[in-house]
Amino acid sequence: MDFDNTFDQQYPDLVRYCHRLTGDRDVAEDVAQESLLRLFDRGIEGSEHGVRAWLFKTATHLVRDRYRVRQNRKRLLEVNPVVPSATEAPDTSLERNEDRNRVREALDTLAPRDREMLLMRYSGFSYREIADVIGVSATSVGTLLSRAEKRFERAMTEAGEAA
Amino acid sequence: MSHSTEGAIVALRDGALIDADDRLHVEGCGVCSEALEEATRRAEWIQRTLSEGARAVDTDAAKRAVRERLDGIRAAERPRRRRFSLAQAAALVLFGAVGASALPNSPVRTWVGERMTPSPDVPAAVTTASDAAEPIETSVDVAVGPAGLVISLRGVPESSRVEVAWTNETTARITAADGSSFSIAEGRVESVVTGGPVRLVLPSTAGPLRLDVNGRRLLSRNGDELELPEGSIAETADGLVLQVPQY
Repeated sequence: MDFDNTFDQQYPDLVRYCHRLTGDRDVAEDVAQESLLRLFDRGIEGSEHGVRAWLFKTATHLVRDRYRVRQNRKRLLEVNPVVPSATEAPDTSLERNEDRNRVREALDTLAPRDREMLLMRYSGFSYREIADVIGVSATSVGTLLSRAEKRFERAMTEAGEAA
Repeated sequence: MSHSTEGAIVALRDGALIDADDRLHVEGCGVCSEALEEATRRAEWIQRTLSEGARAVDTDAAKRAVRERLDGIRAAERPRRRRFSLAQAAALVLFGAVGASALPNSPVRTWVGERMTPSPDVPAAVTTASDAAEPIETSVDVAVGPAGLVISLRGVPESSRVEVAWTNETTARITAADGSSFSIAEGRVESVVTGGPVRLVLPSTAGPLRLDVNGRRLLSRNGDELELPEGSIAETADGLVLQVPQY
């Protein structure tokens, strides 16, 4: 397996997924790197899709282990400071940061299972793969996903009203 | 037929396999078609929402970091391979000696026989069944210091289990195979372990804790936040089970 190609293909999506999952960019990068390290260290081989599924599954388990006792979501928001990008106009940058925070807050209100399910689905995973990671039957993913989507939509609306 | 469930509608939207009757019903039912459209709109909105504001990712820096760590792991493997070769050589000599002692009139046999024949004055050691069955372990208690507690274990065989149980006490207990040695300073204990498994009883609240095994971090706890960089292999009623990673 080619180190550079695999890294280029998987790392950005993995970081974004973990960032959405944890709310902490540093933790997201750490977990994504650890997942890729294990992939290469253990010589995991497979199709691009198979490797991607393995990486996301590993990252999900690493995040769960890391925050197994109790996640302090408020602290996660505090350690994820909003840093304006130098290449963006201040107004645009501020708007984007507000959007990010609203998405972050809405995701934080979801149960871990709903959050993982939602983020995996919108990272392009099949129902079977989601079921494998979440630990439910593939036939119940549709129902659970539908509820998670509605909860997220409601939470985003509430976050928007509160802003 | 009654209307399709929300799960079936979402599964149809996402192209997951659903019952053929469900598909036919949704196509012919105004209520379900509308639900499908709404679910589709919601999916498009969520996709847009989650994609917006995604920050740029510095892949090159991460690549360098992972490559360096992989190089470190590979470098650490090399001395271990040499040690393994020495162990193989020792085993070869031992098996050779045993084989030679089996030959009649072998000088090795004569040499071993002279030294292994029990003296008539000294009774032979007796091993009872209970001695053989009872695993012998050694343990040490260490209090959490003002700055917490660092436990560093060395020599633990790869793939050994490290069983962790949480306690409300402020003292940790480390139990390992007999012959393991411990050196204790305030807030720190170092141990050379002679074999697995290792059992730890760790304070669940007192001080920050850190557990390093063979130079790799397996556990750290600071307040409520628990980190298991290598993951865990099982959870127990009062703790969890870690496994010493293979290198």
